[in-house]
Formats: sequence, C-alpha cells, structure tokens
Amino acid sequence: MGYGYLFDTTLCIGCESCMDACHEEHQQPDTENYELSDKNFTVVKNKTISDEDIYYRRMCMHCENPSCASVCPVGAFQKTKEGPVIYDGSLCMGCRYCMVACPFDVPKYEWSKALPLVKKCDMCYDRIKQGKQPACAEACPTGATLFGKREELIEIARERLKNDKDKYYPYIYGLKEAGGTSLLYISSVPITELGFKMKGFQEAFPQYTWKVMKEIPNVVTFGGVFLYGLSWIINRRIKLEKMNADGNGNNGIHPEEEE
Amino acid sequence: MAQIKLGSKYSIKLTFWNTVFFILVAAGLYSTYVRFFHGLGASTHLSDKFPWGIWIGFDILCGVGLAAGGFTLAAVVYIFNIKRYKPIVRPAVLTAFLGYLLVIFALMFDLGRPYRIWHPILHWNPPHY
Repeated sequence: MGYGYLFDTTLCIGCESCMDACHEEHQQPDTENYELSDKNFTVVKNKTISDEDIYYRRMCMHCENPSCASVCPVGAFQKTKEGPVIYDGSLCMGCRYCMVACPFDVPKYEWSKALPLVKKCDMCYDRIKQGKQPACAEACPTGATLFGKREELIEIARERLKNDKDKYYPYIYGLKEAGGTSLLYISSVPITELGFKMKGFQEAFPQYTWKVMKEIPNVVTFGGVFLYGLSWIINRRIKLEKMNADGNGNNGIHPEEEE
Repeated sequence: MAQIKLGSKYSIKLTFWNTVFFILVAAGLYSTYVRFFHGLGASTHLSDKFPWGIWIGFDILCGVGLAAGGFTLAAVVYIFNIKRYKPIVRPAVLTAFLGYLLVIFALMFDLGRPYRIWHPILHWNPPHY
C-alpha cells in the first residue's frame, strides 16, 4: 500500500494555507470560491456544530479501488502504487463518465473551455516521485493534514483516538469507505454531520459492476454458440420439411403455410 | 409562396415546414458556434453537479435504442428464419445505421475532445482488479 493523508479536523484552524499552496503548485489563480472546481483541487470548509467551529478539507479521496478508473472508457485514470489516483489528459475524450461515477463528486470539468478536460487532485504525484511531500501537507502549519504511508497513518489515527477519548468521535473515515481510501479523516463529531456519505459505502464500487461485467465474455461466447445452433436446427428443419414436401408431390406441409 | 433562388438551377419554396426547418437549422448552427467557441457550460448549462444532460439522455439513448430495434429484428429474421419479416429487414437495418450515425453526430458536440472519439477502440481500460 502506498502513501496517504491523515486529516484531523480538531487540529485544523481554517487558515487555507493548503488551498494557497495547491493553487501555487498547479498554477491556478486564488479564488473566493469554496467549492471543488476545475480551479480548486482542495477547499477548506467550515461548519458549526453545537457551538464548535469545525474546519475540514475536501479533496480527491484517492480510493484504493477507484470508480473513476473503473468506468473510464479510455483508461485515462490510474491508481498508482504510490497511492495517488492520477489522470492522463492526453487520453481523455471528455465524456464525463468519471464525474457521474465518483462517489465523492471529485472530478471537475472545464465548462468554459472549447476543448475541456477533467481536473482533479493528483496528490502532487510529481513531488511524491521526487521524494517530497504534497504541497498542501507541506504548507499545513498545525499538522492537521499529515502525509505518510497509509499503514503508519492508520496507526497514528488509532493512537489518537485511544489516547484522547473525550476529544474524538471514535471512527476513522476512509478505512473501509468505498473499499478504503488513501485519505483518512478523524473528527470530533460524527463525520456524516460534515456531509461525508457513509450509507452503502462499505464496499468498493467497481466490485458491484464487476460481478456483472466479468460474465460478459461468457455471455458473448455461449450466447453466440447457442444462437448459431438454434439457427442451424431451424434451417435444417425447414430444409427437411421442404424435401419431404417435394418428395410427396407437394402433398406435405408447405413451409410458407406453416409459418 | 415566396421562393428563394439559389443560382439559376435551384430554388427553395418557403412552405410552412421549410420555414420551421430553417429556424431549427439556424438555432443548431448558433448552438454549434456557442459550443465550440464558448464551451459546454455556456451552450448546455450543464455543471459539475449535472455533468450529463439532455444530449446524452435523448440523442445517445434514443439513437442506440433505435439501432437496437433494427439489429434485433435482423437477428430474429436470420436466426429463426422467419421469411415473412424479411422485406422489412433492410429498412430496419438502415434505420439502425442512421440511429448510430445520430449518436456519433451528437457525440461530436457532447464530448469534450470530439477528435479523440476513436480512443476507446485503441486505449482499452483493463479490469481494475
């Protein structure tokens, strides 16, 4: 297993350093928009739950078994062994299937361009290959965004939940969601209250379609053989009936009439 | 009825339906201009919340549906050898072909990069586990 992030909402102060670092890394202008878009690969969101200001980040979850990669008809998405789910813009034909498929609504489209592409967080794959941290994790001043090996991050998260039972809601989001994600969230409130979906998220989504898709070669092969056999039998019967009818001086059954 | 002369040989009568189709063609040309100069957002009002709209829903599904009927009929006639339906196979297959042509035509507008429409044939998506 590769790298991932551990995001701790109790440590986030909402300074938006991660957003600025991300914009700088990807040469995007700073925006006042706090929704994911083709110009915002990560956003800091804010929610007040029982008089507590909670700041949390939204970005690509980098699923272990990503739906976007599963549905892409041209194979433009790829889960790398380092952890990031990367996107190859030179293959993409812009069909937007990934946007429909993503359970976390992450891939975004360049709606105002004549020849648009899909845009999303790539966990700074180039930086990871150089042995550096992603820009947002490096910029985070409080350690709310922690970058590292996923297994080690799981250990850190469990440790924090165990040592500070009053502070945390005892759940690590991302451990099993959508078959496991490279992003892990721990929070002081149930994570569903921050808008993260959980119901029906315990299995990797491509597994649902795979149950059907893996049968397609069988259906095509055996279906073809079956229909060819059917055609052969029917044609042979018609031929035999015709021969029979001819042999009896046209007293037998006429194939045209029988139909 | 008014007539539009196109050179010395051809002329178009402006009947009711011709006028309707002229308006449709003009609207289509304008939409094409908006699509390829100002993007999909301006021409379709699709957004990140609704990535697929009426172009996929109507053009693509209707076209494929139309084609499916023709090919099913052809399969029925040739596999079950029902000669009575043979005369409608050719028009049905032609309709099916036109259905797929409609799909490709619609895809030329709906895909972000229409010139990469051949990519699925070469760049396969391997099963992801």
